[in-house]
Amino acid sequence: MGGGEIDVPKVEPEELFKQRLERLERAIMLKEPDRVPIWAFCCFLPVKYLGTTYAKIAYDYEEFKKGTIKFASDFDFDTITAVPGIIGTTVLGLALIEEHPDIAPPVIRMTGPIHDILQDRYTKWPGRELSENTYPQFVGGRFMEADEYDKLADDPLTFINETLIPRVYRSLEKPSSARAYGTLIKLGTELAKLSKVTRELVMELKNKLGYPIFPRALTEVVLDIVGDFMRHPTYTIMDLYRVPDKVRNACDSLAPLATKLGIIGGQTASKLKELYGVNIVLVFIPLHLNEFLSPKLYGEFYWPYLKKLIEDIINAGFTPWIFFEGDHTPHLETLRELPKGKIIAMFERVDWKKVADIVKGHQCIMGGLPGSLLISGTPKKVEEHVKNLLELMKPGGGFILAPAEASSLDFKPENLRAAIEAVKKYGTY
Amino acid sequence: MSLVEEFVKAIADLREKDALELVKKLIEQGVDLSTILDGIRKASDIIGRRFEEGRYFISDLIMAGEILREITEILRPIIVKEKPKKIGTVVIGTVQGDIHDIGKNIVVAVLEANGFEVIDLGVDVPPEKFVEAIRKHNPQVVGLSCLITEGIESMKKTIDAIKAAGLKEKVKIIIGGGRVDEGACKYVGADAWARDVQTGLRIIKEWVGVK
Repeated sequence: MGGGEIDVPKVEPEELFKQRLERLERAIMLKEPDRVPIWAFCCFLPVKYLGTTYAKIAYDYEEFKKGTIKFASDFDFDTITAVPGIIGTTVLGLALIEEHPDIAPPVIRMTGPIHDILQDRYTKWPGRELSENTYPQFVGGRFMEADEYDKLADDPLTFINETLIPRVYRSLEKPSSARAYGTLIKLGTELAKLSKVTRELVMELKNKLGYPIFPRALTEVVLDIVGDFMRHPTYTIMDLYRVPDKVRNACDSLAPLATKLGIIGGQTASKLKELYGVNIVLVFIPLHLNEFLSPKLYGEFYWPYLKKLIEDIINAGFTPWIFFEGDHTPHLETLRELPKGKIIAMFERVDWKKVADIVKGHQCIMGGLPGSLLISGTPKKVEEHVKNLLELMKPGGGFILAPAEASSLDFKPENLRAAIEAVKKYGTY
Repeated sequence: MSLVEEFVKAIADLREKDALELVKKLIEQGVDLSTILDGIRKASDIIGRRFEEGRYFISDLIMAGEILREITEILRPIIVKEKPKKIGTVVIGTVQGDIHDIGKNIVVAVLEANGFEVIDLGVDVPPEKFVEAIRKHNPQVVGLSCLITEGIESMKKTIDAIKAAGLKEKVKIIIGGGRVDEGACKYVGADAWARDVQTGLRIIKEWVGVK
């Protein structure tokens, strides 16, 4: 499937880079840019549009690089976030954070080849557990029982390293084995390959296409670490009713590790600032259980930890980029407790009127393009949607339009084009 | 308060231990199955109402689903023996390419608590499996679930397969999941859509003629 006409940059990449960077930076700092920026946030590239498959993108980094470049040159975004994998292995980063902080941040990355090496039970991949052209998915699982919370709370690192990791990663099942040693060596080699490709990609986006990319680290809030990597979301929620104190103790013990992963990750990413030509370093925090929790449980088990994590990351000099997955509407008020203009708040499904009332002017807001609209809508509907959204979100600055959805964008190209055109038409200041 | 009323209240307030003790007590005291099942339906209604009023959230529905599942387990030997009349049959599954099931599992628990026979096909269910299950179980309703956006395409393929097999006229199809909406519903050719279990339950009950 082709992409229609290509937007050939009429401006030199260097000039484009400057324009886009200023546009993004001003929006992040709650100022009015020349127009609303567009952030192509793709958990996975649009394979149908690119004429490739999920398996190829997940397993072949060159194919991923090529695809990202094509996507970024066919459409006029302001920045792009694309990874050849999915968030899959945050616990490995936690496991290493005290002993080997220098290598902890990158080991959280998960791609097809890394899945093959680690044989993790968290994720399923195209051409492996799933058919060739199926989106890779994180499923997690139940890797500890409720009666193990005390062990986790007493010594989280020992629990993660000695109990959890052998249960999750088939290749590390027997720690003192040739298989386990070989696995770690292969993982290191693969991560080096991945980071080389990532760097090449960023430089090509910058130098040839004029795209600014912000260096980025990742961490998660403790209840999500428990839910996604240890107990499974469903059982974690039941635990909040059945053994709340035990969950709280475990969260208290784990929280400093999660913060450290974010801050050390931020420091590692900072080294790329000069090369990438930008000043902002992001720490991405994707949320998961936020949408599941009642305000009472959110206030007790989620927000205190998230707030502390965000504040610590801000104090370390980085910009937390929070992805409020699902519908975050019931918890919007809490965002007012954060220092002004210090985070990027990306929403998925949310009551945008309430976001405008409660969060606007306080934090940079990102999102607004639902995947279902890009798939099943028409250019006219998309234009209408963007127009209405911008009427609400544009005034005063601090808004970035993005397809905010935790999956890929297998959209109709004319719909995405319509969204970009609509921003250019209605999004200028 | 009668024991049944206490039982209803314990479920609705999500007091797991009390609810499980009370159902055992009801069985011991020889209360008939239909009375107990009626109590479960009442409790499920209260939970649904609280969800709609914004007093309960997904976390509460997950806990409610677990309590209902545990109660059904305790009652299973009696249900198997007495075979109470089902108010309808629903074939449900997460569509091909999607392996998420938290939402679908809540729906299954709530439908069962409301007296439906539920055929749960699991996750990553290919269109032909849905077709086969419709032929075999003759349901009034088919429920398609997905979390990832790609699931929308897959729902379309599933419904196309049901149409091609000439079965669309025999069933009503509802789609559900965090990212479905009116547009997706029209696009895939479903009869209805729901993002939460209570809306879904109301539609399905209407379809089978139960209020």
